[in-house]
Amino acid sequence: MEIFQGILTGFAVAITPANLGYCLVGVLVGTLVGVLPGLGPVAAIALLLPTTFGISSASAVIMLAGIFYGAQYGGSTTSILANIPGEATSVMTCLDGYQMARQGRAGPALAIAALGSFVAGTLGVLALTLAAPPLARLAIRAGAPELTGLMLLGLVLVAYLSRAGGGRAIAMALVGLLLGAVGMEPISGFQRYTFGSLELLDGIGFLPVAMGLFGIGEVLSSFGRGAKRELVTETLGSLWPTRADLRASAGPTFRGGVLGFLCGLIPGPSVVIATVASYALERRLSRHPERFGTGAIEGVAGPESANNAAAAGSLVPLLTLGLPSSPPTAILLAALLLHGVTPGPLLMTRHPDVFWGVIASMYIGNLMLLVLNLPLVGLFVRILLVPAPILLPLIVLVSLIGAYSLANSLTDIFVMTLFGLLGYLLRKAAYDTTPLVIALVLGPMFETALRQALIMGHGSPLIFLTRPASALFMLAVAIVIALTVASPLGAPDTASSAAR
Amino acid sequence: MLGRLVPGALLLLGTGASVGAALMPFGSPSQPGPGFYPFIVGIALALVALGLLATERQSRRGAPTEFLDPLPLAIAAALLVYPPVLGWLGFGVSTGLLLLGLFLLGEPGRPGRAVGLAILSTLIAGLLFGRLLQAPLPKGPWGF
Repeated sequence: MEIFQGILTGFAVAITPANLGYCLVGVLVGTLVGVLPGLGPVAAIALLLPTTFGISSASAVIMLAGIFYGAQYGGSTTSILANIPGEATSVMTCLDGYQMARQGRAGPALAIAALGSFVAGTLGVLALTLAAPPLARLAIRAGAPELTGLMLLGLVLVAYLSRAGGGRAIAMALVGLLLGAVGMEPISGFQRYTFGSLELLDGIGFLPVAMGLFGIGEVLSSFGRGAKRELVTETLGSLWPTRADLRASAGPTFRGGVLGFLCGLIPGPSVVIATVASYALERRLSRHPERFGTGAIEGVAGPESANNAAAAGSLVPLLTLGLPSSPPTAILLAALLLHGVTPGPLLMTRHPDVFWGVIASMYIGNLMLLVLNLPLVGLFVRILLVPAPILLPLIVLVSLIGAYSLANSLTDIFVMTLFGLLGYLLRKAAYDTTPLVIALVLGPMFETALRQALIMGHGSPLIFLTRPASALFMLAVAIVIALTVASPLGAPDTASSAAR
Repeated sequence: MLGRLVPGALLLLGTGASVGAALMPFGSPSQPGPGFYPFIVGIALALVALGLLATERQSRRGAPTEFLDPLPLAIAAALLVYPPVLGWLGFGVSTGLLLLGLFLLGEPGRPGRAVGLAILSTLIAGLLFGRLLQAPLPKGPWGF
């Protein structure tokens, strides 16, 4: 009943003309950045964030969340038509989607990707609707030791699942925690690592760092690669899939949706993992696994469904626990905080308009994406035809203006560029910067919870083992660390690297 | 080269952070002070970096040719110079110059197209962000 009333409240917020407009802008921008390699949802959310300062927090989050899940739709277009994943979450779609396009079946591939995304995305939002309230009620009982354990588990899971290998990922997470310690410390206000700079008093801005690592870093890598594109544009074929296509895609779509949602709950590159797992599952279940990689429609339907459901799933820990599980959700967390909304167990009661409004808007946004995406394929193809030497400077321009607009500060541009260069160099050295970004945003919260827990335990770390939930988290942390250490320190995971 | 440079830099960062934290009020485990947390994190980073260095030395993995790729480094250098020039010359001129440089680096053989694209993109960005979205873009001595 509570859920039913909540979702009604949400729809009352989401269907106002203004919020429908913000949702539309969000999903359109999301689709566009999903199409464009180099400009991901992180940079796009950061770019549009300053434009939301004058609007309500619910409207702002509706638009910014639209960018996040809209990007999952857009990524499939480039994967199918150009064999270039606009996002890492669309890598698996390349395998069969591009082959279908080469066989003159780009239309059905795009249609199945859109339909699967819609069905699984909606299933994911439904699961989010049902799972979030009980989880929030459970989380409300958590104290500092439980929060410390939970955040630590999130961080080690991000490191363990990173494509860069355990040691490198742990190092990146520790760098993020250290960067999060810059500025006034959260309990006494003592200045740490500011070197007398007023600009550093508030700490290192999360948004310029994320835009630098993921936006500018990617652009620098693309310049280095001199990306060439081979578009399949001669014929899209009929846009509509055949009955056989629909029949073959039904199972993978449903399974991808369930698998994707469950993967989305796990911190780390869960959306990517969901697509790889879905592809592997469909191949294993198929009577003709040899068709995979040669244009099997199940290879498009499964991963495309999984990435959308995982995007919805990854919002569960963000909205109910205040824990971001990926760079886009970390930036959504930063956006919520900038709007004076603290995500977590109390979000549902203190800001029901935001909590339920975002969930309701996702039902509408998924429908908008389905209706808009297929007619806009031609436009996306034209955008993809813009040569990289022209497109990349324009992405840089948009990022520069976005970084400056955050606080009208030249320092933010400098920080973004510096971290862009750092991101490029780290990428070259096979380091994954995702743990750094997650740790940077979690760092201050983690420190506060850790210190409060130690004070509660009179300095004894046993406090983490004497409370059941906290002990459970710490046990899980120990298991994950043991698994991480068991893998060679610093060895990048070649299998998952290839998948990216 | 880069493979060993990164763990080396991480080792320096971890060590420096722990030394810096040791100079702050440290407190005690029952009343942790501002230096407590960064000290632990810094030490942990230094230890992990040492492990990475050892692994790197064993595997002799590195990517010297990629590290020396001049185009991304030149672009990064141009971007690092951009903020002070932006404050000095204003959005119009500094952004136009930056874009001209980027377009030329991408397509060195087409200077005419680069000039046209730089002017056009700067104008559109100025109108879209400066006028329409009212972002307070910095103005130079000439008012734009």
